[in-house]
Amino acid sequence: MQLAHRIPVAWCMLVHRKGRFLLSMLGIAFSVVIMFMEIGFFNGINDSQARMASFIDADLVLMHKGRYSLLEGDRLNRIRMQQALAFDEVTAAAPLYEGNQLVINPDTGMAQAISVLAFPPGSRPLKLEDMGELSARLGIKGTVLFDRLSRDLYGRVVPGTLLTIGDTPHQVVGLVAMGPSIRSDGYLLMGDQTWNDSKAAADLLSMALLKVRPGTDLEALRQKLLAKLGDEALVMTPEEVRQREVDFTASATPAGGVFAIGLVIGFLIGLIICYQILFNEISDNMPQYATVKAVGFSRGYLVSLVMQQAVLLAVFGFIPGLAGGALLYYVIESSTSILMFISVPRALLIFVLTLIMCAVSGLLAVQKVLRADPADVF
Amino acid sequence: MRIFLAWHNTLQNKKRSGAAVAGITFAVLLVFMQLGFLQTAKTNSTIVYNYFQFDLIIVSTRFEALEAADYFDSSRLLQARVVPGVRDVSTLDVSRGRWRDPENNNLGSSCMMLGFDLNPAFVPAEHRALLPALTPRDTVMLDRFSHPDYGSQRIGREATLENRPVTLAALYEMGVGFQAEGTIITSLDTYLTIRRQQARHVIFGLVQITPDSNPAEVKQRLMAALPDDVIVFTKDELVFRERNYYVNVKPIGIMFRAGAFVAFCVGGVILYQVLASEISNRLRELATLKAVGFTDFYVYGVGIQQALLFAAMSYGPAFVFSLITFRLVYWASHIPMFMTWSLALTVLGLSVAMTTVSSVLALQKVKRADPADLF
Repeated sequence: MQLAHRIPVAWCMLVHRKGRFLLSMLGIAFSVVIMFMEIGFFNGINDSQARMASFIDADLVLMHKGRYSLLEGDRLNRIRMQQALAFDEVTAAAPLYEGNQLVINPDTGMAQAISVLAFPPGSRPLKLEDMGELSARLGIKGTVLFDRLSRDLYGRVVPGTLLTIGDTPHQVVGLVAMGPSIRSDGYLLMGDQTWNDSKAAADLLSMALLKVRPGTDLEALRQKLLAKLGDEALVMTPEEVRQREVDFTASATPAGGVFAIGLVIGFLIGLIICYQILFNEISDNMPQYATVKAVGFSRGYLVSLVMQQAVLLAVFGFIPGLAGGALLYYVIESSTSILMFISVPRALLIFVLTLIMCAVSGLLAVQKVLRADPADVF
Repeated sequence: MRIFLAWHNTLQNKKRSGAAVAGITFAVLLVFMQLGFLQTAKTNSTIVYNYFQFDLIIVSTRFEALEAADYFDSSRLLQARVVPGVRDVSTLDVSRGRWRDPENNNLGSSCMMLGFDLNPAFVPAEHRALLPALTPRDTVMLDRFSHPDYGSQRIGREATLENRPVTLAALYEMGVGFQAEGTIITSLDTYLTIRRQQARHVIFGLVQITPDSNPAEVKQRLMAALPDDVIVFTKDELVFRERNYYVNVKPIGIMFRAGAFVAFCVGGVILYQVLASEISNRLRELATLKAVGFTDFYVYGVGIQQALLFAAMSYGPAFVFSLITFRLVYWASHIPMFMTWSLALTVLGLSVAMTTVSSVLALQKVKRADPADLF
């Protein structure tokens, strides 16, 4: 066993033929890329759908009970916001209206759907750069802010552009950076009086955003609010809204199933490729394995040789796979504006899958080594 | 001479060939799946257009796609009626709403609502008898393919659409796309009430032409007769536009396109990987063949034949697996995926092409192989 500690035999066997090793690495890397792609699409859809919630600038959010997902349009009676405001701990409350409009692309003249968020001018419902100053500009009726990260459908929209929304021209007075979801392609922000002009119903809110006194126990306040507001309202932190939306999208939309199946196929491809690599490696080195066996090394040593190779393949396939995945994410994010990022837990998940993939194929391939009979070889 | 060498090579080491075939099978399966998604995304985006029977369609000049359907004034339809070659004109409105199932805690689902003037000439013949059921107010016809969340598909049951009570009066089959979880058709009256929309606003004007006229000519006449706030397309033009929009602009379409592209690359690399190791295993033998005087052409032929054998042996199981996968996707997500001739043949062609290219690349080694080195 001395030998095993001094010479990394598995490594040497793997890199003995550099061309083949490179090819093997590439094979594994590509199945890693496939797995990254599928899981990236899956998370991308869920994260993008919930993106709006991560911009909410509030300590607590009130919504109508029927709004179990942000796709639901149920509105809350404005009186609930006033009731919440009556609590000592609540220092401020602002309404947020959500809706959709058709805007006309100023370059092509084509109508495009866009999501609208409306709020009282001067309030700060969203965590965006220069929100206070931009929000104040909406005080003039007929003015809007445009999300410059919107999909490429709306043409060139800059401050000063006269944008036709529905049938009425509106003045763009500033740009914000938010980014679209899967369903909507972009955002327009406007003052509530501009919005109500077209859609009325100012007494029904999509959300009421509450700010509380620093140091308040949110959980206790939530219970008090729920008791006071009755059956109509949901009380959540913005982070809870976001997480709930991610979970809802993951479970309710068809995309989840599609990408899960893709992930399994990527995994199976990797499994077979890795098996094929190890199998060829073993076939080619059969005399060596048999010799090692003949000179007295244990079966355990042979198994560990193959498994070490499997793990090395996993590690060396994963690294370029990770790089390829990152590149793919970048390309897709820039062409679709879907949020695609590699987080540590996601990368770890794929790495563990790669390890399992290689280990299983190692176990399958090792059978052949165990059957190696020195007598056959010489 | 008449020995089918490639075949014997394939059979010689069954396990190794098995692994190679399995690798190629999954690469082909991946291509099947991604192309299947892309194909589904394309056909799904135009289900509505394909359901209604029309030759030409009038839309607002500002109309880009179903997702953002802008309207035009209904007087254009009256103007269109008098244009020579026009046999009949019908009105169709489309928008997305929310369906709620009171029998299941008012669970909401997205719904594609079609408001239609119930002109029987414009729907498939087998559904014409259903239309009179929609004449009473607040009745709807539900697509049988709608998501199970829509609740029971029982005539006479009630549900709400955009918070307005409606009664299910008929069931039909059209198909459900990615845009919504279900589809309903209502009379124009009911639609306008639900949408609180003005009757003058029309999204689609469907036009049928007389049997003796030519669609392109009638289109020209309509364009000339109507003011330039509307534009006229043939059915094919509209279908083409909508598919392009969906695949090039909407994120789901782009994702499936990217998926198909990555599947190609991966499929190619895996094929190359499998074939290269297969050929390098045979390098001695192929070099020997060369040494004893067989032509390069023959040696290449053996390699390519073997690659094609692998491809042929992989295609069958990949085809079967993809049928299973399509069922799985349907079961997991209710996206209808079908194996079409064009999909089956495209993938077959692609796998043959990819196999040939990667085996030629892998055979470069043989070209360089010098028998003298080997012995």
